[in-house]
Amino acid sequence: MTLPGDVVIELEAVGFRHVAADRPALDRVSISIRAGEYVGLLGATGAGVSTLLLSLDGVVPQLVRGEASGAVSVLGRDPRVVPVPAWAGDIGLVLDDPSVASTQATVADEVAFGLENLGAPTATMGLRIATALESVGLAGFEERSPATLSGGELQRLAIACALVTGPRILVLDEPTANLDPTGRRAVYRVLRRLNRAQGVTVLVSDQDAESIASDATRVVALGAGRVVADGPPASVLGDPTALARHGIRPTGAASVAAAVGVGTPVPVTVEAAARVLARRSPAHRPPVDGVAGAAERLAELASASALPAEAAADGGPALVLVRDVAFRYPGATGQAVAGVTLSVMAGEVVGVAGANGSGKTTLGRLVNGLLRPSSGRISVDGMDTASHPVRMLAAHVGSVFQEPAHQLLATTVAEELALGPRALGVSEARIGERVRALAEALELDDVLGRHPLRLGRAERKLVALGAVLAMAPRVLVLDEPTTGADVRLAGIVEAQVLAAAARGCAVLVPSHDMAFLGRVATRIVVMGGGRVVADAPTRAVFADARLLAVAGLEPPAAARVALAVAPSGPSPWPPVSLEEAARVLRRAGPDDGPGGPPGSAAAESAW
Amino acid sequence: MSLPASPFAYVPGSSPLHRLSALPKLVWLAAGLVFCLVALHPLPLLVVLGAAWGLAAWAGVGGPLWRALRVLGPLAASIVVLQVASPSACAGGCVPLASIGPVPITAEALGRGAAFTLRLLAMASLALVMLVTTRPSDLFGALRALHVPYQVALVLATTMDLVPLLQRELGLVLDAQRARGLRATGLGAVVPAAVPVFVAAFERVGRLAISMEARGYGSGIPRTSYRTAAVGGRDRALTVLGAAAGAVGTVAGATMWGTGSVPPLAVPGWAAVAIVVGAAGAFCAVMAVGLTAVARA
Ligand SMILES: Nc1ncnc2c1ncn2[C@@H]1O[C@H](COP(=O)(O)OP(=O)(O)OP(=O)(O)O)[C@@H](O)[C@H]1O
Ligand SMILES: [Mg+2]
Repeated sequence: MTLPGDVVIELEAVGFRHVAADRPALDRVSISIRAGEYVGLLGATGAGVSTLLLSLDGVVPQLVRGEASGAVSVLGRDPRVVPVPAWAGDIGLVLDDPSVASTQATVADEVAFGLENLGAPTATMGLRIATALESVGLAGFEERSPATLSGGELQRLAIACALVTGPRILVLDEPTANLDPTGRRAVYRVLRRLNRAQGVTVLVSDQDAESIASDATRVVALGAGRVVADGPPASVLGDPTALARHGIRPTGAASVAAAVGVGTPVPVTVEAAARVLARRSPAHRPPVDGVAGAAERLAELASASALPAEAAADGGPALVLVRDVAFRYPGATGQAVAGVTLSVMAGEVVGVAGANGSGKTTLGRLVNGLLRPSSGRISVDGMDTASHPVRMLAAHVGSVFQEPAHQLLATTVAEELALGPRALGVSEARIGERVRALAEALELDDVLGRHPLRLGRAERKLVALGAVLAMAPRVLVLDEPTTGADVRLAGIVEAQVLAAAARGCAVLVPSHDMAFLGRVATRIVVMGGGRVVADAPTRAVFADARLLAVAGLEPPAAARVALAVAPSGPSPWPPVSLEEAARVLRRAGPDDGPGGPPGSAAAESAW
Repeated sequence: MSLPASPFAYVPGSSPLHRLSALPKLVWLAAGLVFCLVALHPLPLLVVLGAAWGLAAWAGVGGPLWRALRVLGPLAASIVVLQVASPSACAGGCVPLASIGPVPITAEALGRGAAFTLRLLAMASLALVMLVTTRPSDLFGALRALHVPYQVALVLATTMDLVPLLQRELGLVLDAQRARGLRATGLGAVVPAAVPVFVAAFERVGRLAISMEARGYGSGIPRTSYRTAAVGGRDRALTVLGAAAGAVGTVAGATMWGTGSVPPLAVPGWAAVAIVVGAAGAFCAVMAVGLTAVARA
């Protein structure tokens, strides 16, 4: 029995080097965590966060092999010695790859699996499974096969599997990367309740630190395998410049505040940032009471429809035409998409947003031809997808799948990049050129010889993007291109998307990453229940509170901070990116002094 | 995805056969398989085959069973051909029915071919009915209850878990290939796809193992089951009954049909030729398709 305040996790100078890795993933990490703490872990790709989390129940080094040093003790036992399954009763683990939560035939069986392994009485299982599924919003999915779930639904399932056994310690590695904003809040609400009400010790990593900023009691930041910051969220996250040095993305609110010139420690939540910024700009001093207040003002704004609609794309030819398309998966009860009509012009980047399961991925797979519409027509680069084999369409439309592990086919990154152009009959010399150019643009030079599936999740995604770009298609479908991406990787993806559009590609981006969509999308198609509920310029969508609420979305933090400071502002309003937010808020603040942008690395690399 | 569900995978359902715990099912299966091995005679084998199909229909898994058996069809055909071509097939007096070139077709060879084919189908049907109505993880518990060593049970159960996963993996890789402009129709695509599938599957199995073990798979704690009630009195009775039936069946089968005296199958000469040619044709067709695929890869 542990009491609140007892040390439950103790790491002493822990080091770990993966087999065949040239540098250690963890390097003399010392942390001690007490029962009832809520620890947020931050780190760029490859900083060692996953390795650290997996060390707690022995997965590292028992199943993921390598060279370990130092000492780990969890609940008084040594995870390097006690077998992995023996930890299941105490530690609930959510891996960064949700597709591993599909080992059983139905969702209910998947959740039951952990209970069965721990010998829980059959009679209690029904209720426990129902409760776990309910808490992640999957009630009613019991008899579905996990293989038929959408990416976000699968991730919710993985979380339910970890919650159902009632562990004392919850370890979650980027558990909400695939979730819609509403689902993300719901999951963090559950974590918060378990932590505050039941004293569960929580360790959670996330590339988006917003929820960690408001819920965690402590934040640990890793950089290149070492602890680079450890303290209360307000102080660790309040120093965006220091975080940026280690490639860690600050919260959107902190970035805006820093860019406007608020001194360190900057406010880290939307509420706090709005409070501080409102004080600085007496011209607008609306009552700031958090996001709820902002939402109301958004609603007024939307109903007043005071938004100038932005000019549509510059009239290029429509490369993607979807006309009244419906699709039903074989064996499914309802239609996954219905009555969908949209077009994407050359040079246009169109975001597709919507709750988990709203049909975004399905729409993407219809456009690339992998699925054939049950009714309606789709033409891509002038070709009807129903009458052309996918193989032929592939030269015209390139897709990055939501789950990158599902589309990597080669045994090295270099081969992976060469595969597509080779199938198109491009000469070997040209292929070599393209691979080299792409490797440089995507910063993949160092991993060209590695097996793509052994890379981290976000890097796998980047390889998949490279493999698609290598075929130089005119249409790109990039499903959730930034899941789990750190600042650097997200920046690379952004640059590639914008470059493709500049070349005249039509780009369709189903994504939950509103900050990313705010930066790249000219237009956002909002989906709900398989239907298009809105198709409007990005700015208009972010300003339409009612629409966003219905669709389970919320605007990026930059827009939320600005909207919380003032219901309306200088056009263009609301700001859709950090830079815009910083610009308008700085303008709004008369007492800002001469201080131009702080020009910090944080402001540049932040989202 | 683009492929039908794996023929050997668990089919979720709520029939009594699904709900029956894995232990008695495993024991009855063993009894049935042993019986098929000792009783090489069309009559008892037909009874077993009929019983297996009856169970499948009762549990609502006739469709999956049929799909799986179609895969075994060519194999069954090869048995007929091999029996006919086997030189030692005619020790005693044989009744020649016809001949194809220098190879005589005898009633005895045809009879043996038919019996072996039936045995294969009966055993496969029994095993499949059991597999598609039992969750792999329940199988693990049952194997442990039968004192099968832990590692063996884990490997067996995990293998069964993996069959549908591999199948799905193959579907995903084929999709990925098509989306990248590679050929992905027919066996010609499936075979080259098999290479990345297995490399990828190897990687993925590693991850799945992590996820399963982290959820306590193989914790050594006696497993309970969500779908199946704990092994109760009825299950124990059925298990004992199955073991007894196995023993009785083995003895009875061995005494009544175990002499190896398979009844000859006397059909008109043209029918004998047709059977053998048809079987050989089916066999060759399958081999040819397979070989071209390998050659193209
Ligand atoms: N293979 C399938 N068989 C049956 N239903 C499916 C299948 N794939 C997806 N679905 C269902 O179709 C609907 C739309 O799924 P889709 O993957 O397009 O959603 P999404 O908007 O991309 O979700 P997410 O944000 O979680 O990625 C969901 O309800 C999902 O459960
Ligand atoms: Mg999706």
